[in-house]
Amino acid sequence: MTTTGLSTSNLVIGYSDSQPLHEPFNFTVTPGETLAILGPSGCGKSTLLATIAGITSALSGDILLNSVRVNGLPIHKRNFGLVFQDPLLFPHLSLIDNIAYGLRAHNVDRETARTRATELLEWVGLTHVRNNRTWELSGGQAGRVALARAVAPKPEVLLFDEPFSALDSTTRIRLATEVSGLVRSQGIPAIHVTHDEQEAELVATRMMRMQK
Amino acid sequence: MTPERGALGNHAPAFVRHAWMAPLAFFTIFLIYPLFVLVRTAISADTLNALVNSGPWSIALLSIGQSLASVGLSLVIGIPIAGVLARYQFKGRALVLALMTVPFVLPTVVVALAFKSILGELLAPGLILVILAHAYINVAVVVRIVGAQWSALDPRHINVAQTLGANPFRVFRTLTLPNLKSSILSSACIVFVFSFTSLGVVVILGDGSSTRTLEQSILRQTSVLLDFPGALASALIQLIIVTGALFLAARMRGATITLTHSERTKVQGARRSAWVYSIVTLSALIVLTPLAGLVIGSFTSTQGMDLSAWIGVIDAQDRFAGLGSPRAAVALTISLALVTALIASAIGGLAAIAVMGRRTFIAAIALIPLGLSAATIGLGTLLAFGRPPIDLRSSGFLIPIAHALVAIPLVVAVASPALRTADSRRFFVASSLGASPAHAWWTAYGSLLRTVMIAAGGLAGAVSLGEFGAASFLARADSPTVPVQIAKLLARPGDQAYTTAAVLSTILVVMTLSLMLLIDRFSAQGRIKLS
Repeated sequence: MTTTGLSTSNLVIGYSDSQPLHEPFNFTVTPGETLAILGPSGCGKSTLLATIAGITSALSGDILLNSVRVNGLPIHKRNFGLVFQDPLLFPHLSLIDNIAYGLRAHNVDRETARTRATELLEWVGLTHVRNNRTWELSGGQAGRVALARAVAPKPEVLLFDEPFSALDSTTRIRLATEVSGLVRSQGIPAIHVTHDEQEAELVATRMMRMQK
Repeated sequence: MTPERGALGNHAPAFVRHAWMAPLAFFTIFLIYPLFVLVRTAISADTLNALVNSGPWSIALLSIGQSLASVGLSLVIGIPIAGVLARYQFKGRALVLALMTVPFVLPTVVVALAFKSILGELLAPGLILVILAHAYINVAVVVRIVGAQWSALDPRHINVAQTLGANPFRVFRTLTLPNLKSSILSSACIVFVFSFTSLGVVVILGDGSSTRTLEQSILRQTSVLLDFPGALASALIQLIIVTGALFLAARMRGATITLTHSERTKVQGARRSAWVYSIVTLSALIVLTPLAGLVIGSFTSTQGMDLSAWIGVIDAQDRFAGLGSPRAAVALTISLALVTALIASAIGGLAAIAVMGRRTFIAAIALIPLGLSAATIGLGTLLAFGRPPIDLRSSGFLIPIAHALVAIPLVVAVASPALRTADSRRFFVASSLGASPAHAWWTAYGSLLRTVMIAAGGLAGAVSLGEFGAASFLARADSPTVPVQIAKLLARPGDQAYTTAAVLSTILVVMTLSLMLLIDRFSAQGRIKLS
C-alpha cells in the first residue's frame, strides 16, 4: 500500500558513536498536515529533524517520502525545506538572491528565479525592505525571508526547527498562522519542532511529545 | 557602572599611565630618526634621478610578476588544506596544523637551502625554484588566515543551501568561496608582501636577473656597488608598493562578514575520508621532504655519508677564509637572539600596556616596521648609526636593535589582545581590599603579563635567529650571523662549503623549532593566541 506524505519506520536517531537518543519513531505526516513535536531541550527533537533532512545519518530504520525510502539520498537531492531558529540568511547575497538561491540551484534561469523571489518577498510582506542587506533586517523580517527562501523551490516536505522562538509574540503568532496556512494550501507535509506549547497549538494539526 | 575591561583610566598606577614614554623614545631614536635620515638622503638629486630611471621600476615589475605567481601557488596549495583543517576533526589534526606552520617560522635561507638540496639537480636556479620556495614558506599564511574564517562559517548555512538543492560544488562556489573572499584576498596581500620583499630565497635560489627583488637590489647597491642614492630609490619604491599591499590587506580584513561560531565535523564516508587523508598526507610530505633533504645533505660528503661536516662545525676552526668559524656564528646568533628577545619584549610589552591604557598611537607606530622591509630597516639603521657622527657598528647593538624593530610588531600583536583578556575588575577588587595602585595592577595583570612577555620574547628570539635582511647590512664580514654565513657559504664553490651550510641550517631548524615549541607551551599555559 502506498502512503502519501512523509513517514518514518522504526527510525532510530543518535550519533554514530553513541546510544540511541530515543525509542524508534513510527509516524506519518500527510500532505497539508503539520506535526508539532514537543519536548524539553536535549531530548533529541533537533536531531530527529536533522536526520530527516539528511544532515545526520539515522542509526537504523527508514525515512520514506510517498513510500519511497530516502535515507541514502544526499541532502541536496531530497528537496526538504528547512528553517532553523536562526534565519541563517546568506550575508553576501541580497534578499532577492537569498530567496532565489534554491531556484537557481534547481537550474531555474536567473530572471524567472528573481521574479519568483520578488513575489515571495511580497508574500511575506517585505517589499519595502527589498534593497536592505541581510544584517539590516529585524529578527522577524529575517525569519520571514528564511521562510520565503525555504518555500521558493516548492519543497516536498517542510521542516521547522523552533523557527519562531527568538521572535516577539505578535510576530510569532502572525508567522505561525501564515505558515500553517501555507502548508495547508500547498499540501506540503510539515514537521514543526518546538518547546513552546502555545506555538505548537497555533501551527499543528497533530502533536507528538518527546521525553528526555 | 562596571568599568570596561582594560580601561583603568586615572586609577592606573603611574608607571602604567606613562608606559608609552619608553616605546615612544625607542621608536623615535631607532625607527623615526633612521627613516628621517633615509628620506632626507633620498631627496637628493641623484636619488630623484634613480627614481625616474627605469632600472628599479623594471625590477619592481619583474618582482610583482614573481610575487603574483607565488601568491597563486600558495593559494592553490593552501586553500584545500585550510578547508580540511577548518572543517574536519580527525586524529593528528593539531600535528598537521603545527607542521604547516613550520616552514613559515624557519629562516628563509634554510628553506632556500632545503629546496636547493632536493631540487637543485632537477631545476636550475631561477623563477620556478623561487616560486616553489615562496609557496612553501607562505602556505602557512593562507592556512592560518583562510582557515580561521572558514572555521567561523556556520555549517548550518551549508545545510540550508543543500536543502535548497545546491550540490557540494555549488555550495562551495556560491556560499563558501564568497564568504572566504576577504580572508583569501587578505592572505594573498600578505603573501605578496613576503614574496615581493624576499631576500634569502632569491639570493640562494634565484638567477640574479628574472628573480631579482628590490630587496636584493638594495643589498647589492649598498654593499657591492656603493650606490646609496640608487638603493634609497629602490627602498622608496618598495615602501610604496608594500604599503599599498598592506593597506589593501587591512581593508580586506575590515570587509570580513563574521558569521556565527561553528564546530568541526568528524570525517565520515569513504569519498570524504579519501579526500581529507590525501590532503593531510600530501601536506605532511610537502613540509617534511625539503627538511629531510637538508638533514641528509648535512651528512653527505664526497666519500658518502659521514659526520665530517658536523665535526667541522663543532671544532671551531675557521676553514673558510674571511667568514669566521661556524661555531662562532652559532654563538653570536644565539647571543643576538637573547638580546633581541630582551629589547623586543621590554619595548613591545610596554607598548602593549600603553595600548591597553588607550594610547593606541603607540600601536600604530609599533606596526610601522611591518610596512618596511628588513633591508630598509637595516639600511636606515646603517645610515643613522653606522657612520660618523654616531657610529655604533662596533658596539654590537645595531643588529639586535634592527631585529627588535622587525619583531616588535609581532610582540605587540601577541601581547595586546592577551592583556585585553584580563578582567580589570580584579584591579578594583584588589584596590578595594587596600592594595596600592601598583600592587593592585600587578595582582590583576602580573601573572598574565609574565607569561605574555616570555612567549613574546621567545617569538622575537625566533625572528632574530633566522633574520637575514637587516643582518646582511649590519653584520661584520668576519663575524656573520648564521643565516648570513649560510648565504655566503653557498656563494662559494665546493662540497665542504655546501655541507657546512647544510649543518648550520639543520642547527637553525632545531633551534627555531625548539624555541617555537617552548613558546607554544607557555602560550598554552597563559592561553595566549599566537595566530
